[in-house]
Amino acid sequence: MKPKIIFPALILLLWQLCTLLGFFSEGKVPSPLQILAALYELAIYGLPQGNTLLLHCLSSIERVGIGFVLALAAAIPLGIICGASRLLREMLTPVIETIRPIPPLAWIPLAILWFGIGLKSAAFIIFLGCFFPILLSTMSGVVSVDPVLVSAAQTLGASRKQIFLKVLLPGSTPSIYTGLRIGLGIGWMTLVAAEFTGVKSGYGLGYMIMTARDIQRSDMVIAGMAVIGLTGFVLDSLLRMLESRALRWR
Amino acid sequence: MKTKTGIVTALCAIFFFCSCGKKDESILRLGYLQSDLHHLPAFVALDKGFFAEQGLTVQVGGVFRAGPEEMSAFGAGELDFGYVGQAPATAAYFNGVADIQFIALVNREGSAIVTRSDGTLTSVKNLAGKTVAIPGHATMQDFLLRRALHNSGMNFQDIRPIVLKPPEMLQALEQKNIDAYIAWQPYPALALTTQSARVLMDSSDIWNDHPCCVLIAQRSLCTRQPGSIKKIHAAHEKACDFIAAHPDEAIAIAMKYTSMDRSVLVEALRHIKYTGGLDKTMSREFVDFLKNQNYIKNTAYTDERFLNMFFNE
Repeated sequence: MKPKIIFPALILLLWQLCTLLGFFSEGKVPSPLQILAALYELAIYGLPQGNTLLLHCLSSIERVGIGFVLALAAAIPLGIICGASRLLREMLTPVIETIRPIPPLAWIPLAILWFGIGLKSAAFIIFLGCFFPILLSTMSGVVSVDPVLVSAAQTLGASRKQIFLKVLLPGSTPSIYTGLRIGLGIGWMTLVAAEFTGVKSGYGLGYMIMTARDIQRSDMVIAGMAVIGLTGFVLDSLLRMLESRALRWR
Repeated sequence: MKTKTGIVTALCAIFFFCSCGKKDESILRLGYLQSDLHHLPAFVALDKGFFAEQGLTVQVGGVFRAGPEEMSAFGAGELDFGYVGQAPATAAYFNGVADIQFIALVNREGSAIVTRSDGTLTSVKNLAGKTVAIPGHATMQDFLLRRALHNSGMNFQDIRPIVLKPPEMLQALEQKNIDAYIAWQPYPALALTTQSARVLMDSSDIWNDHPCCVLIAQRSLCTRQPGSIKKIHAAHEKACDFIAAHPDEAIAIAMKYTSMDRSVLVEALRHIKYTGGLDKTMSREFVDFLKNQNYIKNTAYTDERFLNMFFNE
């Protein structure tokens, strides 16, 4: 058996044993089997009743998808421009570095005020989570393109457009992809904050976890967290597949 | 160098563990919800020294934004007694998070369904197809709304429910993101004072004399110190009597703890009945609701467990 399966399996077994032997209270630290039972309950009956796990998952993927796509549409062009222009970079860096540390949770009241309740405000919170890592990685990618390559292209008579398309963009793509993966991860992490309040449809993994918290079902909270983690893992794997195809030349 | 680092680390560890001393059993840690007018007896008892009069040393162990968080604190052993909604206390007890007992009711009624002043809704029947905000699933307000809909020949699926925290509800109503909301006082009173909203139905008309918030304590405290529990109960009853006898002073204390305007509090207090005692019949009705909605596992509910939820004097 592979080591990467043995270790997690041992942890789960130990955890189950500890709960069975009463080292942990089931209400506070549910056992792996209880969490599995909770997953089944969420998948079949839902929480609230009728709102099943699959629909929660799809709603969250929709919100994260919209926020992520908007973030990359804004961050990549801005990152490339800032990376290519030292003046612009120096002008925008103080603004970026001031806004970046503000946690997405702090933006919720304003998000609701500006965008109302529902998809737009949730997507905005996720957008904020995704935007900065993509922006900074893109900027860094452009800045780190070897200046010798740019000089060589200029020497060979390349126009600015050609330098951009043939040198800067391909050269910064690995860094952009790294930013996309980090951005998607952070965007997915802000999901619970984004769905903390005002979920009009009644669906969303973060919303489901908050409902489980409201009724003190720790087993369902952990089950929801596991689904968030797993879905995030799958989305990241898809991005990595895309990356390996786009960067075949590496 | 490595030896020095090891010694410093060991000393820090010893210091840390020594500082995690045993809890002082004579100090009782109280929890309540931030700015929750339903917990006015707690504010009055603290402000007027009613706990101290009973010979109790009470410390505020935590002020929480929501009932589930307070119940987590009970589960972690961080509180000895507290004021909290019956809903989160019941859910926490039956779902095995906190082993508590109900000592007394804190208040009856004190919630309302609110809609826009300029809206077309004139009765609960008009809520069909509308977006209605509730503070959370499995809350007393969730139950009240369902009951109001049922009384009007409708069910929960006939409306579009949305979960919002009460401070956000009025803004959402004014921005027409929702058509109505149900919340505990003083949020309905706050809406009335802005004149942008009106009450569609008071909770007293939905379920007359319904319980809302409760005074709870750790079961271990009830077992070890039943005398202290009786004193807590006595201080609570005195606070309820004080609110009835000295409304102006009670409002001043409420202003201090909630930072709300006097006019809002005067309006809100007209709709809240502060009380002691326990109501097992109504409590059972609420537990049945939680069970039927699968908010508590059916297997967790037994008659014995239900009765053990109450402190027996």
